[in-house]
Amino acid sequence: MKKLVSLFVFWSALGLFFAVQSVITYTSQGREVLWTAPLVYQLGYWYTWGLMAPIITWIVRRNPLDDGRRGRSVTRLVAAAFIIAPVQFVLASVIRTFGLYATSVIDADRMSASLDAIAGQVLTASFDSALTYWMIVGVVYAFHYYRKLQTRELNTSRLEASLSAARLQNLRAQLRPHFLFNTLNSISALVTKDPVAAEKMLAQLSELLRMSQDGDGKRTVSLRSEMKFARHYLEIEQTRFEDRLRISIQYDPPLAEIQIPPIILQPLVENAVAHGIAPFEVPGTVDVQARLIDDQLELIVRDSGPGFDPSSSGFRPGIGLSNTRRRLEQLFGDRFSMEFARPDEGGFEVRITLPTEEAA
Amino acid sequence: MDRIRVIIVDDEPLGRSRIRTLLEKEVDVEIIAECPNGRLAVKHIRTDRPDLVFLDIQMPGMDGFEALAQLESHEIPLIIFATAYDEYAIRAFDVNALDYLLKPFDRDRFYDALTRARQKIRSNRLAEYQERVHDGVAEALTSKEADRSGIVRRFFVRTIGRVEIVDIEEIDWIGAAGNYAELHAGENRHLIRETMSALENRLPHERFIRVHRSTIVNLDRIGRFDAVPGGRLQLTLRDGTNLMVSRGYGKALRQLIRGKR
Repeated sequence: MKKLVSLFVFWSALGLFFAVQSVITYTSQGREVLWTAPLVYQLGYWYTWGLMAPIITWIVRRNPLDDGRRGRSVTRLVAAAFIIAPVQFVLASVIRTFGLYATSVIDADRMSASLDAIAGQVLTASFDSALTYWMIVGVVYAFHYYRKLQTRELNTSRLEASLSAARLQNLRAQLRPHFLFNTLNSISALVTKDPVAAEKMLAQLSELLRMSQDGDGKRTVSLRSEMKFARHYLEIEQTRFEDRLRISIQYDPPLAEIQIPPIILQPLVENAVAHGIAPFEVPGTVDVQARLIDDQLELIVRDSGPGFDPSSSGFRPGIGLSNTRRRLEQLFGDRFSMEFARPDEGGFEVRITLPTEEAA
Repeated sequence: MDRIRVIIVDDEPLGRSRIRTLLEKEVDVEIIAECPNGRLAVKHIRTDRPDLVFLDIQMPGMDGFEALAQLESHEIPLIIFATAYDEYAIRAFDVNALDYLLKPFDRDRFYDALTRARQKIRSNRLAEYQERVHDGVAEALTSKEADRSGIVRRFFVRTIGRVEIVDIEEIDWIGAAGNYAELHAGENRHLIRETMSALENRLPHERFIRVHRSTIVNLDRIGRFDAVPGGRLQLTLRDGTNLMVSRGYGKALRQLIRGKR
């Protein structure tokens, strides 16, 4: 309703503007002019365009000027011009004639004469209407593309925001506060009891922090360094859990220099300890493997916990695993895979395959 | 004078060793047991009746809070909680004025806590303290089970002597009572320390609706509505309880009813 009112105001204003303009022109030429005729004439003209405008907008929306479709769109607009311009002219003339009669500017005879004359004027007068038609088309296109640009800018800034949020989450997820505080607590227990072990653990923790700092800026790291990171992490956990945690890390030495994104393994290893080892009193194993299958690097992190059935409805990957997947999506699009499985021998397994062409 | 009998509970051997080392020099302290998990802690607290327990929160199997929920109030000794990082736990401790150590802790902080514990053990006013522990336990366990958006499926509540579980399905309606909220579940009433707006956010919106500044209702329990003079609504629950709907919240209720039809 509000929109209808503002549209009415808009077209009335146009009509008024041109009516005032013709009155001023007439007056400057020294002719005495009544207001009624120009008002009826201009309002009749612009109100009919007001009626045509939604149709024009509809056509413009469906015929964008993007590459590849431009020719077809222009053809359609030209075709529409041949219909809309004459229709507008006839409508405007009829309305105007009745309007002038109703406001007693012309009598009944002039009115019927005018109406009879309309048919004869269609061909020539439609050129004038066509000019206005193209103007309106131009304005609607301009508005359409302005809106599109605005939406695109909004989307771009939204995308940027979500990307930096994801980056921030990565940084936070690298080493959980829980892990850090527990490690520090273990060190504080070792300081008096076993100073040498305390030193070793401090060195391991420092190495881990250093590596996670280094990883921040880099696009890729070698598999060797990623495996070293995983080993440090697991060894620290081993000091905490003592005989509850067994570690196995395996990969063929030729794979050592393959480049992979930094901090891919750590969330998986952390997850394995948190869900496969920490909740249980019986000892368990975390097994990290890397191998090459058809030029694809396969990373496997497996724990010996009770596991989850990844196909069950209750299974939902935690924040760490979801973040890893999101990062891989950003980096590799659909050229990677990340699967969860419950191996026959028990436990839970995460399996990631990455393309290796980046390494070459 | 009797020695203070202590149990240390922590799943990590180094965690236990840290506390043991700090206690060794204390002549008035006797370590009577060390437990690697909550299950054993419950057993030892029941049979050995310690004066003081150093209790780790995160442990495999049964954690520190779950262990305390197993005990009846009168069985609860003085507790010094220890946790590495657990925002729910810390909130529960702070709200209920319970003493805790954040790992890693220095010896000053440790001996401060021990000194306060000694005073409390002598003061012999354990009953009120035991209730506070159960309040904190109930609060932390409820928060811990909330999903990522904070919605809970059951509440842990302190009743006389123990911690009980109230499934949200059992709740008919909730009324504000000062700083507390009263859960009405059939014949039972439970007080929990929560504001109405906090509760509104913890309950699934498709099942519970706020109808008044101080009332939240389980949608399944609504029997009928009656318009009362002044254009307001009165709710009658299936069990016959009458509740007023306030103007502001009535709008949401009307929309919901319309949406259901």
